[in-house]
Amino acid sequence: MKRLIAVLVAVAFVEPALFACPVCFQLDDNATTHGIRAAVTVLLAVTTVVLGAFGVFVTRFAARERSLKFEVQSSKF
Amino acid sequence: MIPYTIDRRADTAVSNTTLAFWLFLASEVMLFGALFSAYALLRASAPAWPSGPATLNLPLGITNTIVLFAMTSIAWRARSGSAGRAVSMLGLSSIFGLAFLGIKAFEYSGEIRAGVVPATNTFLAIYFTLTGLHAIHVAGGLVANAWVMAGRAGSAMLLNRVRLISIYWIFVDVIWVIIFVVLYV
Repeated sequence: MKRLIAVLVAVAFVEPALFACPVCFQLDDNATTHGIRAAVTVLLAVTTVVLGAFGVFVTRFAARERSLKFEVQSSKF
Repeated sequence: MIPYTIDRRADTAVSNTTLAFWLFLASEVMLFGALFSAYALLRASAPAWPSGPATLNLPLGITNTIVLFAMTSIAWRARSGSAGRAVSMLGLSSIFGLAFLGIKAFEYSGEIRAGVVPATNTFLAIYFTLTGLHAIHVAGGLVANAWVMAGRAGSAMLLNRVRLISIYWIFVDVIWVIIFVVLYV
């Protein structure tokens, strides 16, 4: 799995076309393109905030689960 | 089946209902996020964008902001105290919610009479879409307020519902502030 991720990261850095947004790639630099870029940026920001909140919750959930397991194990002895 | 309980779980640190409510709010954020993305698309690609204060009724917008803040403040205060106090505070906040909808309806009617309708331009199209969806959320929150007040839940369960509804009103406030800043100001 780690090797697969390393290959994907390497390919992403080698191939510049992968950085291109598929929506506005090779569009003319006009007002519509600016609009699409702004819309994609706003949606990405909102999605990042929501997914970030999920990530924080899952991380805390896992930490709590570990501490609870530790409490249960230590109470057995 | 997930039991209906208001007890905090040791692993999540919140109750099941609270966790479900936050998930609901996350979906709401995505809904409004998509619409704000549409706003960004329309605004950034428009050759000319109308002035909000010149097109919309700014005094009514400010009044509605104050009314909505007052409503949320009262709903937030309903969290602490007895169940009876919570119900009366929620009732008071509902009056402010109805006032918000009344002012919004008055604002809409004035605009429509003046020929300011969604078909006029993209600014007004996104204005009516965003404020209309927000008003639907206020109306939905008032239905939830009425449900909590009319319910025969026990004291602890009722206070839990009041806590969740107050979070919802905070969310509605935050969305309104963004709408107000991007459209009215």
